[in-house]
Amino acid sequence: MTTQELIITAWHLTPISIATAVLGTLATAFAIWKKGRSTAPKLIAALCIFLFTIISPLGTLSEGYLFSAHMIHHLLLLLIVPLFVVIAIPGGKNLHTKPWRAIGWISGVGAMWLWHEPSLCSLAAVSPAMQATQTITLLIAGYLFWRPIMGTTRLHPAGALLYLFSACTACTLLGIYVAFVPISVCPAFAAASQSSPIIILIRDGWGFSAAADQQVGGLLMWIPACLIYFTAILARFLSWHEPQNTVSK
Amino acid sequence: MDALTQSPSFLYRWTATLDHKKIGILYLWTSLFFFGIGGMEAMLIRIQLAVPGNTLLSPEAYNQIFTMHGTTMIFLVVMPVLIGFANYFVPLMIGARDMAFPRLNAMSYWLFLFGGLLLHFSFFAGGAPAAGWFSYAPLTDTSFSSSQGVDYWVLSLLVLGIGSVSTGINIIVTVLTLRAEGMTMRRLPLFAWMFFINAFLIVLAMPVLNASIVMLLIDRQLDAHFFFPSKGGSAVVWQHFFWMFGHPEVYIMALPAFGMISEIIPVFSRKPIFGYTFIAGSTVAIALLSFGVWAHHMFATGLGTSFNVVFAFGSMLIAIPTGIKIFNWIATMWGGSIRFCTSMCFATAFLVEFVIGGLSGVMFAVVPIDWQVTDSYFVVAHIHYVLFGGTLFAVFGALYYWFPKMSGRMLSEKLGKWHFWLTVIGFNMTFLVQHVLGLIGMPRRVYTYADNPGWALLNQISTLGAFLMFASAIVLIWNLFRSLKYGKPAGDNPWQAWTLEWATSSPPPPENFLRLPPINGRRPLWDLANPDRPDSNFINTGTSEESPRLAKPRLTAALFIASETIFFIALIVAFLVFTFKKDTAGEFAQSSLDPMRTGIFTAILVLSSFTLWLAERGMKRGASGKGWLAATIVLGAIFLGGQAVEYIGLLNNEVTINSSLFATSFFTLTGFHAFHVFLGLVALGVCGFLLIRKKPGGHAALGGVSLYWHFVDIVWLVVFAIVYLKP
Amino acid sequence: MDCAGYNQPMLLASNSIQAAEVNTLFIWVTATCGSIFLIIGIGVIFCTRRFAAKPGETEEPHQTYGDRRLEWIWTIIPCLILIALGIATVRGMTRVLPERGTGKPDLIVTGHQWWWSIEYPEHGVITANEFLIPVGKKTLIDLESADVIHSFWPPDLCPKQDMIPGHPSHLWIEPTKTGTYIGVCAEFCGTQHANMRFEIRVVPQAEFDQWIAEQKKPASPSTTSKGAELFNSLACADCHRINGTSAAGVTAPDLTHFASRSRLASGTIPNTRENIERWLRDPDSIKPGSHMPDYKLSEEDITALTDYLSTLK
Repeated sequence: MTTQELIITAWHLTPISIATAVLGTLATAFAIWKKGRSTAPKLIAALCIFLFTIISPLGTLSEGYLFSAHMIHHLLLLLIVPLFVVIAIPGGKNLHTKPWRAIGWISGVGAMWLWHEPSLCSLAAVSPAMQATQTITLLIAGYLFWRPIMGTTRLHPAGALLYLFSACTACTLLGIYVAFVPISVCPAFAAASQSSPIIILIRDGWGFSAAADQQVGGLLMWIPACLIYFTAILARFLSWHEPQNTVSK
Repeated sequence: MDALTQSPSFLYRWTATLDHKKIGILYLWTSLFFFGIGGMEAMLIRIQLAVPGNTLLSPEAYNQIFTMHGTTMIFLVVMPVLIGFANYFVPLMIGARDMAFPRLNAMSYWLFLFGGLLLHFSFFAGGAPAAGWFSYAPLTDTSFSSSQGVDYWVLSLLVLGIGSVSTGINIIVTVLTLRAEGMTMRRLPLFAWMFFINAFLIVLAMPVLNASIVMLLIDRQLDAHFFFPSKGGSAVVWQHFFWMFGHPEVYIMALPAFGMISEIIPVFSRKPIFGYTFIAGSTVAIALLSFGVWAHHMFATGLGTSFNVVFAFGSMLIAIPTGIKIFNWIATMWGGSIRFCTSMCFATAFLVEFVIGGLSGVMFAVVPIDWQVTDSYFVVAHIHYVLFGGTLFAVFGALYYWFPKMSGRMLSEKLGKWHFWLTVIGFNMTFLVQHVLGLIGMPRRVYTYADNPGWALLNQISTLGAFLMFASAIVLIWNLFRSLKYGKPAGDNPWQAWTLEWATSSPPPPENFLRLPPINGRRPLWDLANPDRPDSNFINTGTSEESPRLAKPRLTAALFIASETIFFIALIVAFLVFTFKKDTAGEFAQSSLDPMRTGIFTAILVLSSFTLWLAERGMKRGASGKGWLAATIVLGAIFLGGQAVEYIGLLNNEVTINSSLFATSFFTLTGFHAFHVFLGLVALGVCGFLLIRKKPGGHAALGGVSLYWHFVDIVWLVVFAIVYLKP
Repeated sequence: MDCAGYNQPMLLASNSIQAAEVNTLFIWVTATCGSIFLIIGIGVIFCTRRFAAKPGETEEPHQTYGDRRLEWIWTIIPCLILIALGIATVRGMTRVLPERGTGKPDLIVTGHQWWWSIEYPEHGVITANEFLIPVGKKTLIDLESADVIHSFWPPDLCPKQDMIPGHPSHLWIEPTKTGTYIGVCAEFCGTQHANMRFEIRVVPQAEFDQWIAEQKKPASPSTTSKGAELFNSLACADCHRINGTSAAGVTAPDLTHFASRSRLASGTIPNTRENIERWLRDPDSIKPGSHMPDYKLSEEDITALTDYLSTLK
């Protein structure tokens, strides 16, 4: 298999992924109908990214072939898709209390750490049911995580900074762990069947060993995730500091 | 406090002072003293290198001198001089009476002085440290560095580190809790804002250094295994840890300088700072990013392509917020009416010099170029352009700007111009050629060099420049002393500046302000002098209402906890790293642990948190709570007892701190935790004493200490899980 | 200490594929950074001229506070420049120092306090401080250290890599021009870090093969000479190796073909009779702090040893 073939043919069209895609589309349509037209652009963007994650070759790769792809999968489901959803549907005022903020932080960080536990990680890579569970938990955790930052009653910028910086520290530690540790964090990927054409493409075509794959995966956990947090911090700071553009006449 | 300021004894007034202004001045004079020592070391280096094959200094002497030059300049000159100015001016700029913790502030200064003297004592105790200012392992192993120099280096940095972290906490709490009415966070003068952000860097980065040097000391003195490969440790881990501190450290030295420039340029251009929000925001960006670029000091250590790419990316990214500042400063000058007093001359020169240093830094981010020029004189040129041409030029600018406020007299402008030109010419002469020296192959930290074509000439130009710098320092010192006696009286506001420190006498009275002007914007004195066009007509800095002020004790405890968290994270990471390198001795050590028994003691410790919570809840409802407090202390003591029993068991089993890498990291991690428990018990005891004797502040103190206690317990849960349960 | 006769290391000379790649990158990056500096420098100087206060000026100028659009412009443009630099960086990295792969190294260079040991594993040749590599061939060098961190840096041949004990690294060199290239140690490694030089001669393949053949040969036998006897009785053999004799020490430079080297004490002084005698008489006078002990030899012994060492071609 060549890379071109991978992109064209290896779409992730299993029963569960199709069902998930359909569910996601229906949910988006329902939400737009309920919450009004103005939410449409952001929700549709979220849906597109969601579908890309589930159905495109990325979905195939992340299901037991390429650990780095699995990491991208996580990041999109946990940090990007829910971000768009929160911006579109900031939520009511009853979820602004301290416990919900703690829950948000713990969900966001915890979901990331939880799914890197080796046995869980491997299971999620190969078992469709586990994968669906993983997808749903990541989406919910992401939504809860972004609520205090981008939702209706937001944290003060200083609080947001603390919240995001500590989340960044947590994912940095995780990312460094995954990238540096000599053992396999997600054995299912290292043990993937050597005869599969996709694996042959990865190992021989791209020259990407399992160890290098894990290293890149760890770096993806760390850098892009922290960049997202970093951008959120700066955006929050700017909007707090200078609510409107002012130029002296 | 009044008795102190009134005391006839000069010595007593200055040594027992708790006044932030006097403490600031103490910092400044002391750092000037160490600047003299570091400067003499620099002169010796330059004279030695003036000719190839020079025999002025033996290699042993030279290696001590360059190590001390770096250590002195960074820890005993640049950091303290910036802290000195912050001490003096941050409270004034926010309209406060003093720092939040005056006694802690004084302690920080004396720790600085003591740490500096301790470091220099090494000269008399067998030799100063000679392994470079970043003490790479395994050169720092006792077999390669047999004198006690490195131990003095470690101990003095620990002392200095405690002082710095205390100052960091002090500044943060001061800015968050003592701002005057109307001085909102968005109206802070940029020097105050930048030092505020900088204080977070100090609080979070110094603990990494502390953890590293503690591990180094254990390696050297207790024959342990962290960083020495011959005993199973990792020299690369030292580098990771050190630069994890080291990179934020260079921003700790740069951000306050940026703050100074942001004060000077507007005043002398007669315009407000251009793009305040972006300068403030880019400071936050730099602080955040500074934790993510450390391994650019390690590009040549063979980390692998993916790591190098990641850190190259981060290192380039961090150039952007710095560049934004430079453009904003130039935009501030644009359209202004610039007065080129010495202060402004230095600030303008800063722009050029710092950009040179910053751009050469960007060149280092291009990894293949780094592979050629790192560890050569090119990097020596880079660091001096950013630290001297950058930070020190800003400090000189700040000195000419703020000296009138501190002393009531103006520095001589004539001598100032001499100082300026001698410095600019001397500095560039010394360091510009060093770029070339690096490019033609001269490595750094060499006590001599081969007579290669061009090397001698370039070194001589550099040495000549150093002599000019020496002359400029003489002029500066002469100016300082002369102006203190004969300088023109300054008045309250000789520069017609706009921030609050200029709204009081020069020097300010002990309580800082007799009366504060109304604060409705970023430039209270501008608004006062220009009621027809106040800043608020053009820029929105929000209302004078603020989010609720934070409670001082819990805020302070939270900051201290943040710094201790980083310390423990460092030790835990070390533990995890070495867990993967377990050998048979390590396996044996691990099997000697008893998770069940330790689990029981863990439960006891958790229980102590619960009893402490009960104590506080009781007190809130009016009960005394002392019983529960006593229970907490007893439970904590039992935990320590359990720890001691375990240690004794291990020692009996021949598992000592140096028997294996696992044992080393185990004892270090659990030992420091036990030490924290012990300190917590002492603190709880003190709170108990305050409550029993009904002294004021007992409840508030307990509020802070209880946060600390819960933190210590949570750390134990993490340690227990990782050390005892995970395997 | 005299050190005349060395090439001037010129970074901008490109004597190998790797050095050429870095030089090209360097020129482009310097041009970019230099232009940025010029723009800023001219901006600053312009401001100092155009906006200097006129003498006696008291009126405050027009107050400006900021401009969001300008901020975005001077954020985005540097970002674009850095993206270009970033792409060039990644390209450069993969060309200058590709991954090692699993092949056997052509050379293993080990850093010691304060000398270099060089081994050609394929040929079974061990030497110290001076060595040859063939021109036009991509050579893989494994780097290690026997004690503290060192750094292998022949500036006009290739960039450096650190040699960290317990953490092996590697370098690729594909020289394009013959010549003699000096290298230095670029990581502070103790007292004599400054005097830890090495010499690489890049030669045609044929000359390289011939040199290897020479190096493979054991030392010319003269075991009966007084110098050889002294060498063993004075425990020189405990540290130094001379192939073909019983001397098999590894903590000091291999001396099998010592007399064919151009310099001694790791590039510190030329390899002449007089200098060998100076070194044996008092190593500290040449390289203070070096690990070579001072045996307080008599002049007779010094002459005998020098005679012997001079036969080790």
